[in-house]
Amino acid sequence: MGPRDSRTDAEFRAEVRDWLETQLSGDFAALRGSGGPGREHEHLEQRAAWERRLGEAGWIGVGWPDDRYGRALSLSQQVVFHEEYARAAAPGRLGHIGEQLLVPTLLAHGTEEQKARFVPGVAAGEVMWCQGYSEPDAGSDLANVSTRAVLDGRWLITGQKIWTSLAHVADWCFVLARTEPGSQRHAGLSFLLVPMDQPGITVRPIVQLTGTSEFNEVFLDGAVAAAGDVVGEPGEGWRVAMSLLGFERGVSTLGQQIGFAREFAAITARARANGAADDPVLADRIVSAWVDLQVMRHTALRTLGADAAREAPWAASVSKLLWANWHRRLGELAMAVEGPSAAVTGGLPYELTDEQRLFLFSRADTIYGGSNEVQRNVLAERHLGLPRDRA
Amino acid sequence: MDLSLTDEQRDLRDAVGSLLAKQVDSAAVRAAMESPLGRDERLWAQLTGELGLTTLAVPEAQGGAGATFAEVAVVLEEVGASLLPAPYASTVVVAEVLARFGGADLLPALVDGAVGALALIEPGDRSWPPRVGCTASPGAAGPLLTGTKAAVADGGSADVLLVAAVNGEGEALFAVADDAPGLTRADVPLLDRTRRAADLALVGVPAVRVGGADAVAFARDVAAVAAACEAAGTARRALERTVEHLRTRVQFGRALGSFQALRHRAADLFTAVEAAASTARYAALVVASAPEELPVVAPLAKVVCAQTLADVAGEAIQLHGGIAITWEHDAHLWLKRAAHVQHTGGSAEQLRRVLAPAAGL
Repeated sequence: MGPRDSRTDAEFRAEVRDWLETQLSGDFAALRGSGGPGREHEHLEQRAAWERRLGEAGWIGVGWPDDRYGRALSLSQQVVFHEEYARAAAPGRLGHIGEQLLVPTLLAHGTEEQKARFVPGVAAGEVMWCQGYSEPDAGSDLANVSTRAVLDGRWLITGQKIWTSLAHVADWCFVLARTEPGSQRHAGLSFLLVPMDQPGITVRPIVQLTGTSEFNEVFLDGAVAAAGDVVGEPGEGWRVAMSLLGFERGVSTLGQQIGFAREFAAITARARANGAADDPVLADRIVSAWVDLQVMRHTALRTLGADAAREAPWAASVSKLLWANWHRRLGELAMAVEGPSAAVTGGLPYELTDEQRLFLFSRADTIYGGSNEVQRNVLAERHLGLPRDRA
Repeated sequence: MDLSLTDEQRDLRDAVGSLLAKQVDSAAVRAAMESPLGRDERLWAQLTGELGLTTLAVPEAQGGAGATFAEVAVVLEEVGASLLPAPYASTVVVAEVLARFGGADLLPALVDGAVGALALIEPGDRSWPPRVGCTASPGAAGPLLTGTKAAVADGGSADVLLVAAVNGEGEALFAVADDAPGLTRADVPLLDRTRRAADLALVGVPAVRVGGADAVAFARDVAAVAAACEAAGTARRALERTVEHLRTRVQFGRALGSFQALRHRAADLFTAVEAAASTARYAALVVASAPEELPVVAPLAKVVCAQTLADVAGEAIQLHGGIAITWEHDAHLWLKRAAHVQHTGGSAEQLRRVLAPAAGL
């Protein structure tokens, strides 16, 4: 079941599908299914080449609202692109932080000079970015950022970032840093563009519960950024950083759900093969998961409609809660379907099965990108009009 | 498929919503509940004859408004929100079946404000899809129905009854008039007092064939979608009232809603309510424009919306505290409505079994 395509969308879908099919049958065939959550460490070099191939073909920045830098596709065609990308099991993106977070921010808040300097590299799939927001003492409480930056002809930055996805492959990092000494909370922060390849930056991978690493700690010890490489006015960093949240209208949601449907199908296939499907209680759980996946699709369609701003102003938080909880439960279901062999790894030294990787890594889903608790607070305050909690 | 409400649908929602807000407060619900027919006759006449809300989706050529089930769904949500005690859902299901399968000669009665009811379930049957034992045998002037039906929603006051029976071809759906000879009806007292139901006994009752097994399945599915839309509306209102309570009720010197333990539960309910509303909306559009998806989408929407209403109603009571255990407060009406929706029209477990092939099992 797909949302019904208009004629143009159907032609566009065929174009995307053909392109992906051709590319993923040739040099990049081995990349199918690689690089997803829990597999971010796989095939880094080939995936970097894949980014450049996407860039050459003009598939990066399809949703950027400025046609000088991207295709500025309609919302429905952006959805089509994400759906087909997921359907083809094309590799997890290395460039998505630049494409989906940095560039939209630059297009909204950057100078023309900044746009001209930074956007083409992202569009070409050649320049990778990472996001320097979270810190050891600024997780859900992001406004507690304590990384400092001092302007002395150039920005000198000192502090520590954490949970930085892809910092080890990134060329640049956008860093939220405190630039007004003594400032508190949301005030006095700036959004700085910092090159990663410099002596003042050390990247240390964090070994995660899967035994693999996709997150890092980033230590900034007198790291340097050019005086002009601040997006928005100095001190306006919080506003710039938060506006990122508004860029995500959920066009990738339906594509994400195609990936979920593929994970779900693998579990039902396993359940049929190993007899778990004959257990009526497990079968009921499996169908419940499928039902909830359909509900997410209906909710996504509602949040993508022509009148979404009026129809679903709550979309970001509701969608995040729905998919994160669903995916975490799917990991538990995958293990239950597997049965006793769920306790045995795929091999030494610590080779996880797909079910185990899903089970373990999906625990992160309800934490990153605004934890469940943060999303609930957002809904309670902004959409239910409930008073803030008193500390 | 764009699930946003159109401007016209918004207008319809606002018009029906404000009419029901004025006319169907808690006292009015209770008065209607205790009345002999279980409804406010004047209001029902206004909703049907004057506003034509039961025949919104009937083609204009047959006297309806020529809209679709998507518009009916907008009204169903408001009806569900207000707990309007009236045979609205039953009647729109019958109208949709008749408009699709013929029986056009029966539609004018509905346009004039008649009540419809769908009779599928038979006494003692726990199966789903329901077993049909009622028989249709050929008579001189058409089929004659013999059998019994149990707790037919709005069966007591219906002018037109759609009855599932078996004949030589298998299951089929038949229309029976309320004054047909051989039909007796006995009211059944329901847990949910905002609704009415009746047992039917049919002994050689003259009937008109509406359609075959596909009509029975279609009727069952549209009834499920209607139940889902109504439940989504009830859940939304129950949550709104609960959130209002959390905003205004002060304990320990602060509003209850400032306690994170409570506001997080409200946020989870909000997520569930919006998700269920999305699925109900999708299902209504499927009735209107993609009926081939109905055998999957209808049970899916019913499962989701019934469960959501049950969750919201249960939490509404807990979050309201002691007052919600009283007869005076509306919370028990939501809980009983939830139980009614959950346990009629197929249990969640049964419907999920129906959905298993679609899920890949």
